[in-house]
Amino acid sequence: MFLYALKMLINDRAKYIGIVMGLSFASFIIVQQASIFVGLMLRTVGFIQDTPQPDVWVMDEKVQFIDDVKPMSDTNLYRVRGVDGVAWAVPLYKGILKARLSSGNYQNCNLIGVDSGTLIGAPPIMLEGNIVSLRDPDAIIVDYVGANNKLSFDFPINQKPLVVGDVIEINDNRAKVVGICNSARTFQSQPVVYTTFNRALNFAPNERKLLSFVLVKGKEGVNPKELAKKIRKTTGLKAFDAKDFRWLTISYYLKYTGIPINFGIAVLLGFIIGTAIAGQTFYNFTLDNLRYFATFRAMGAPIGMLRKMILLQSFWVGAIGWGLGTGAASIFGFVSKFSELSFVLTWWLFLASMLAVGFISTLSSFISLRKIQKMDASIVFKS
Amino acid sequence: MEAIRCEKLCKTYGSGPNAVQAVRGVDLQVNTGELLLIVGPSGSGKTTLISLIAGILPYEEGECRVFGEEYKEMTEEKKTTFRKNTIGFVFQSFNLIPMLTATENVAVPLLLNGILPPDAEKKARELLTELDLKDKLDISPKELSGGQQQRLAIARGFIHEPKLIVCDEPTAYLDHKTGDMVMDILKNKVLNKDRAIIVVTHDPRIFSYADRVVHMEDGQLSEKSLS
Repeated sequence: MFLYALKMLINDRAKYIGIVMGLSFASFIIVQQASIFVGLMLRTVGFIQDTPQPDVWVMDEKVQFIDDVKPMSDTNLYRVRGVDGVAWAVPLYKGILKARLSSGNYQNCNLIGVDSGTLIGAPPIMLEGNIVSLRDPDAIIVDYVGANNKLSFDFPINQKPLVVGDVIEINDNRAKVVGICNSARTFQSQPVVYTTFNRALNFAPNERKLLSFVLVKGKEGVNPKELAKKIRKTTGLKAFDAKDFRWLTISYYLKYTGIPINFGIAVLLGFIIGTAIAGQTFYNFTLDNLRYFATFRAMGAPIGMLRKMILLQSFWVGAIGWGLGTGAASIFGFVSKFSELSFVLTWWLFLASMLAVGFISTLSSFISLRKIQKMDASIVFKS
Repeated sequence: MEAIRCEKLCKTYGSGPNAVQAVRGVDLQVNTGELLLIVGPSGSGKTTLISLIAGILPYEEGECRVFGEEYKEMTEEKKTTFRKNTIGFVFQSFNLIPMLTATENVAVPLLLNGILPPDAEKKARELLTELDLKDKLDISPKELSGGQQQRLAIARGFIHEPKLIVCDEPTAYLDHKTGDMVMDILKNKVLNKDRAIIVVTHDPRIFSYADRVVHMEDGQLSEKSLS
């Protein structure tokens, strides 16, 4: 009988397609919008993920997220180095500076100044050139997307990518491209330019304090959280392990920007529209087939069997709709991989969308089940 | 053998001043091997009576025993099982499921009785072949003519060999010739000494197929002469 329940559903083509499309739409919108949201949030912490060497990030006590740089005095580096449990501590500069291209164009860049000795904080993947070339005079390494877009010559008209050997000006200082790297996209989509800490201080406008972060590695066996706590207590600075720093940054964007609300509304709309389309069509399907369910009932089908038939039908459309929706969202993500769009589809988004679509189809079936429960089996004799 | 015995059977719809008594103290006895016609004007309570006899509707007063079993003594679950095993239905508007093939429609009562789909469909094909529907086995009922649909409905009504078959206006939508053919099937192929058939009808053309005709009016039955 359960096979026949599925045939009843599938062979009613128009309604079947309507229900599946409704659920696919809901699933697609939920997954696609949520994936873009997750992608955006991960972009905010892209630089932390690109810098895996330190256990602890130390910063001014007023810093609220990674891009909220509040420069500290150089002496803080030595204070941190003096904390018990610290194996090494290196300085990092992070700031927004103007780059002037040979075409005369200006472009804001995210300048990262890494420790000159160890190069800790340097880009994780080099596409052209070598990290050690950063020690060359005036050397900079530019991220691939920046080199091919905003830092390209004559952007945005005739884009000629910036290549190794090209020279640009950063805050009126000569900067020579010695490498092209692959780094995580930033939230503001600005080009990322790497150089050494000392050169970054030359590039940056003169200020009394120019130390953005201190990157710390703990001694073997030292718990990063414990170490961060100790640094906070000893120096009065803020200190987080990488995971907590990521959450601090993400929490800031969640709390102080309208991004979650905007995406939340889109996800909610997808959910509501999907529920409305799928629920209404599934209910109509049951209503249209009420006479047949009543016929089964008259012929001796237990009410429990009818319930299971309805649940099976709703499970079926839910599974197909979810599969199509998430499949389409995955294809969308794959296609947009090479674009500006941030799109990160995680396993828990799959799970969450599955639960959401499961909820929609179960809700639809419960509305239909109520109708079946209350149906008058004697309608079979009505013409 | 006694197939049905109804005594002082009453059924009322609604309550208070809006109550309508559809069946008023009906006494009826039907034996196996008998084809009984229930005739009467619209709204006389014929359909309500067969719904009571089939155990689809509950009744307030009286007694209705089908093959010795009294519905009032059965739980809803037992009543469902009883219907599944004992009763076959042929409906006025056929109630065939358009999303299933002819074979699958006929196989439904067997599936409800626990027969596996391949066996049920094999038996359904054999029966449909017997009823001259061999070339319609795998098509939807909606592609069949009225007569073919009714033959399909009859096949579904007795494929599981029920002891009682309840037919509601089986010839209502059929022309004279097709109506005759349908009644011929019911009388000569379906009816046997262990089975009873009750047919509710308006159609005087089929009176000749009946072993007995009862007339229903205002919820009450009276015996009607066949002549």
